[in-house]
Amino acid sequence: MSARARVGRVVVVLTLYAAALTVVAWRQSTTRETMEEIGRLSRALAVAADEREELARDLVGLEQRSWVVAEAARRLGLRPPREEEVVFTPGGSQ
Amino acid sequence: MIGLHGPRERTLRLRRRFLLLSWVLVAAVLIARAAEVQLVERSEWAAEALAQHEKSRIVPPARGRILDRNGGELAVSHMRAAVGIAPREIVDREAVAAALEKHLGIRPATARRVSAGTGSWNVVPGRYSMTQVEGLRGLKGVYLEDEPSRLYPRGGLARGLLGVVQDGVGRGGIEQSMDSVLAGQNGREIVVRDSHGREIPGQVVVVQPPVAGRDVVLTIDQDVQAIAEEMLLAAIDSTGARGGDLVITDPRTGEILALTSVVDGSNAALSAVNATYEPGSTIKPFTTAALLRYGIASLSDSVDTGEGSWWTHGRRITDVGRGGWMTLHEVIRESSNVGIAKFASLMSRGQQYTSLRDFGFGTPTGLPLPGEASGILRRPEDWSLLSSHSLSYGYELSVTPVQMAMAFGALANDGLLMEPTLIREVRDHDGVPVRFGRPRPVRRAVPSWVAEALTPVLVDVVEEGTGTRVRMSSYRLAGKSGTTRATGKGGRYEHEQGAYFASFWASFPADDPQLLFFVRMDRPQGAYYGGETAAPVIRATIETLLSARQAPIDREALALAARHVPNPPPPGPLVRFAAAIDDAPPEPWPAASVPPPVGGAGRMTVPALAGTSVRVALRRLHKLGLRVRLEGGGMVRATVPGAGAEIAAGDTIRVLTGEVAPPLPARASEAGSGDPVGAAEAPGRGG
Repeated sequence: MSARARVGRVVVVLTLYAAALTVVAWRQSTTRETMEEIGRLSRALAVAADEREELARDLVGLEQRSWVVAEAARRLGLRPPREEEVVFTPGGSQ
Repeated sequence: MIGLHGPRERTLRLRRRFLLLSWVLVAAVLIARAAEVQLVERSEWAAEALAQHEKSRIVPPARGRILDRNGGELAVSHMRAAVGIAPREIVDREAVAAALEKHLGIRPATARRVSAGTGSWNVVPGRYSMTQVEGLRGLKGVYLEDEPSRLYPRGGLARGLLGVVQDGVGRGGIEQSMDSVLAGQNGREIVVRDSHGREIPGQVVVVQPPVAGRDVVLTIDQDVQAIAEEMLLAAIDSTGARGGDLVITDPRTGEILALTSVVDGSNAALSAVNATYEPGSTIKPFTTAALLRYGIASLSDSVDTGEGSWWTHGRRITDVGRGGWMTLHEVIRESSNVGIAKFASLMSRGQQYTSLRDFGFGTPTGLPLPGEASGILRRPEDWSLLSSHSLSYGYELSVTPVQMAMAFGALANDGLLMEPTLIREVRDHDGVPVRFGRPRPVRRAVPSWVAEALTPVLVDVVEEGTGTRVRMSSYRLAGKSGTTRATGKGGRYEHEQGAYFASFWASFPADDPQLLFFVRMDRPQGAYYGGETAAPVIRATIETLLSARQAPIDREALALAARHVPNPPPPGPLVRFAAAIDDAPPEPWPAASVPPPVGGAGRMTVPALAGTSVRVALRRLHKLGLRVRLEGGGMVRATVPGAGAEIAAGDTIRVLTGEVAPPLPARASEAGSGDPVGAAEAPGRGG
């Protein structure tokens, strides 16, 4: 084998080795980026779930009788009916 | 070339061999050690390497939810973040402190303290939402750790009943008693770390997934609970009481619909379950039930209550005013201590004890809450000569409000004592019910006919007796009041003014009870009688429940149970609610449902009472929130201070009696309560 052929073979081997290293590095870096993106999305999901929870809590608060009655009194001047003002009729819905 | 010969060469050869041998020995040692490490100690070193590279950590499960009977969330788990600071790693302390202050809302001093110093680790107090901590991500030296946290969406609603969770463990209430069901099982996961000990994103292996806790569905209705708490707090506020309890049950099933206690302004304790007291006159229906059950007396049998006072075994039992001959029916309606004591003396100790025991007194109800008190009901062999009398009007035994509610539930449920139910069902994490809390009868406390016979008597208590403050125009209620002296440390009676427990029980409606209410007020100021302070709480609660959107009441049955209402308002879905827009200004609520304060700033004038019966006089004075010192019986001759004098609520009025022209017989509805005098005149005794 000539010296030139030997050099060529070494270059090919080195090139293949460099290419393999590059592929490994590329795959690792893209995997890492993907995982970080997944982490970001997970956090965004957690934040969104948190906001949903807070809104649900606000909703529960706004549905509470004490709030509704107070607002009805404040805005409309309404009050809960007295006992004698509540009339249930037979056959009415529950 | 110069050759070495002789001794010099031998020396060098020896040195070479020694050196070679040394190298060989060292190599042998290294090889041996390598073999030991690789072959003998392989597993140990592999484990250590893994430990450095990987980290195993516990994954806490999501704690089960606590739901009300309609599925409303009372307690849920959600993720919160704990914030840790490594001050040595911080590059810009001012920036970190400012970020902590801005995103977490902590005080500047706290933010500076946790981000300053040379310590290796500081923890920011509290747990924060994901939204709050999002702005802290990426800051060098700031570490976030997610962990499940407990949230009570309705705030402080039913706090004592629910309990709390501390360090993942339930403390108090349902959180504690159902901890094993709610807690779930920890999981385990392994994270891979880089050479700096940082977690490598995505390199998490779940070894054992956590098992979420199961959901617990209560019999509590959160709307009813909220109304109960509101009404009780309003009553405590208006009466100046130290605290109170309100229990609402369905007597047909024993289900607890609302259970609340307030002690010194806080609803964190549950005195309705774990604090006992002497029930006083509220026990009289049970004494009557025993008399009927054993055929010892009928409701139309009479005893002479004399002058409202009876000396027996060296002690005086007292009533309000002069009683004369009273039937057993009237004894209950007027709450006569003398009358019930005389009737009870006809019973044997065994009969009296058995009857009270059958209603559940002296034993825990079995409510699944920590620290339930059993109360005290001594065995007959431990009784004194006076015990039978004392027990007949509610002394010498101690009970809890829940026991009283369940016992009254038996009277409202045809004599069948039910076990209190608080857990409706347990659901697994897929929502499938795995356990049901079905209604369970404990025993038949009295025959059905006894409970049926007592109903009109207890209705009379509300219509014309000591419970008129709970009377409703649309529905008939059955009920009974009670007033007893409060006891302090060592079980001794407290002698301070207003140291009374005022209680009232009512079933609604009387003929086919759907709801049962029991209220106990702890040391109300001013008027302190059960019929005056506790009864209005029940009326206000019922009134509010009638107009509540999702109250667990059978409106169809109520429509049939309603009695004739003079000039009923025209029906309409919202008309009556909107009808408030009339001439009258909107009333504040719930103040509209509780008795208004007496007079301007509590001042008033003494009414003219001369010539009226003692009972009528007492009733009128009690309604004004006044204390009474009764001297004699019969007709009122005068009062001190006299009619027209200015006084304040809570003042004591002396009622002087004497011979006056006989008035017309007092109507039953004007008859006074038997509750107070026993308490007022006989320290340590009363009904």
